[in-house]
Amino acid sequence: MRDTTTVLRRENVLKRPKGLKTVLGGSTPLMLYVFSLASLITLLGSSNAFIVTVITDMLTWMGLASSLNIIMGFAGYVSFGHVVFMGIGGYMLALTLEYWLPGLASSLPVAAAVVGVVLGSLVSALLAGAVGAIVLRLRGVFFAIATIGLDLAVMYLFYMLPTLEGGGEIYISSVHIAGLRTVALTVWIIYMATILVMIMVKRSKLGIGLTALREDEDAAESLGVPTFRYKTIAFMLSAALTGAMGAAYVWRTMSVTPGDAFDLVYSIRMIVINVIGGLGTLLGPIVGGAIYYILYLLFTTSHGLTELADIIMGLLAIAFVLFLPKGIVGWLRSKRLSMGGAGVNTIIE
Amino acid sequence: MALVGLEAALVYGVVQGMLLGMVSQGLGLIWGVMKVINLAHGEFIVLGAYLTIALARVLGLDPLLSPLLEFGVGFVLGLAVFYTILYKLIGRAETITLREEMATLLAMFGLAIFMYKLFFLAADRTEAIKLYDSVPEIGFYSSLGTLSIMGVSVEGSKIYVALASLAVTFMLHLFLDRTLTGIAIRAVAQDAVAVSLVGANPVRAKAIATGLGIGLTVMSGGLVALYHSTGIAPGLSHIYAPLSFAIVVLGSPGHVWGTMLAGILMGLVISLMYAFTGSLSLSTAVAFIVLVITLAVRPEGLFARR
Repeated sequence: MRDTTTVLRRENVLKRPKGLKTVLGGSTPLMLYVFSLASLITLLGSSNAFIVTVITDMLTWMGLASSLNIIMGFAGYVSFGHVVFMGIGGYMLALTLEYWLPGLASSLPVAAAVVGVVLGSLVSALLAGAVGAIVLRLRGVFFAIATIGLDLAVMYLFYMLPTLEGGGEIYISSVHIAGLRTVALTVWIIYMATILVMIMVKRSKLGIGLTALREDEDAAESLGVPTFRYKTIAFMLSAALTGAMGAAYVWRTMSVTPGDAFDLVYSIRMIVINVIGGLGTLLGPIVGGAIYYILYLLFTTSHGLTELADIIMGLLAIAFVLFLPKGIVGWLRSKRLSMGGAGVNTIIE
Repeated sequence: MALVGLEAALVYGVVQGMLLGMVSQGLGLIWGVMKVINLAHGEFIVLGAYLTIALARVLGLDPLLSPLLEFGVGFVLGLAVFYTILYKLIGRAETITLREEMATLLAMFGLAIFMYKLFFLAADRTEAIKLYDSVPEIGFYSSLGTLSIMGVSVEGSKIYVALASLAVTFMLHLFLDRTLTGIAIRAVAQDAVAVSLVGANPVRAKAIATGLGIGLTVMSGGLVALYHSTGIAPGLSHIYAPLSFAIVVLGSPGHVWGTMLAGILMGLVISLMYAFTGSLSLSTAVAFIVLVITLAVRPEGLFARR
């Protein structure tokens, strides 16, 4: 049994900042803001389409991983079918652009896309709330399996969506697409919103409650933490952010098909990024996302390694689970290295 | 109004259900004994299916016999998986906590991605299999006719698959019920500490259970190849693995006959839904809705011993 004070101090509960400091305080958020600002400046300043695309891609994966972190890292509920919210977000955007508001999408594609993104995150949150009432009663592996079941059920239902293309496929016409930089900025805004929500959750009473229920749910419940309400809120927040990013993702790829939108590989990528970075930490999804994406880029762009990329990523996931189960951030924290007088473990979290 | 006759839906539901039950046995065994969910389950099934094709094409082995050989291959692979991955994560653990559960899930999924891509590589680099392939018509397999059950004609290969599924399930039941090793495996599922206290080695039992589970899975892949005489593709793993999860949950993990009954039930649900709606997507969606509802109402499964 771990000493309660140590746990609380490690999770920054005892010196919890108030007010505006909730979002701004601490060195970890500072590092996040510096990184986010740097990526924004690059997106705005660079005229190189390759660089803009790469950074947009990376921010997409960091945002998705961070949104999953809220339910998986903070609350300890591993949502294996989290891609379901990404797919629903994507479908809401595609349906808005092509079927519900085609007029608006032709004259003001950005406005229609915003409607699609908002709709995507709302529908995802509602689905998470409704399904969460059932599946959040399950723990551990059973929750993971139930979310996989949810994802596949939704996927096969979307195959029946009567679209013009048939088979539930929707292709977004090129007049409904904005320029590369507009899309990149949309992705950045959703990414930033995800980071802010993640920090706020972590630093709030909700975050403390989630940490408590992750460590021991029955103990938390008996101490008066409204575990079920907290889990549901975390699940809905996580789903809303994933849905928004899923919508932006489809705006970039210009097409959505059931088999692709609800592909479990996307969930796994979000999970693997969190595992590489360090579960339940603020920096984890960012560090993991950077490493994962840089490696992926390296493999897919170098000759002869392209088809091996997924194989190597699979082996990498196994290696991390076996040898570095707490991820890079967790490993650095446990090392208690010091840098410039301050311990690394206090800098990173 | 039914699009397919009711008799045909029932017969095909039961026949396919027996295969589904057999396909889920390996997953259920590993899940029941070690609380490990083999997320590479679908990939091991596809491996078995491709092995049947490769063995028939390269060695000329009768496709009806290759499941026996595939069991051996799978058993060795299972031991390898246990000692390289699972042993470090849970081999000596007395109780499996959430953290260990998640670690095994992730490791097995890493293996799944690895194997999935390996099929593409193998199809690309070797002559033995193609990406979209079907079992060569050789040996006794090619001379199987059709059989009439309740006025519904069913291919002989599908009947063979159903009977083989029942036979293997029966043998698995005998092994777990009558042999000392089988009893040790069941004992580990209940209490690993107690097993070591009475002088048996729980690690050995877990290793054999993993070997047996993956052996059965690869073997069932061979039966899947016989059943889907029209064609095999890596994508089959995305159909069979989730269905197996649903069936194992429904039939209570580690319960041999529960799994088989749940498989038949699932086969009937899919087949009847298809007969009445004509939509394969809807009937598959219903299978997963059944999974979520089962988890919500009775997470220990329909056949759990109380």
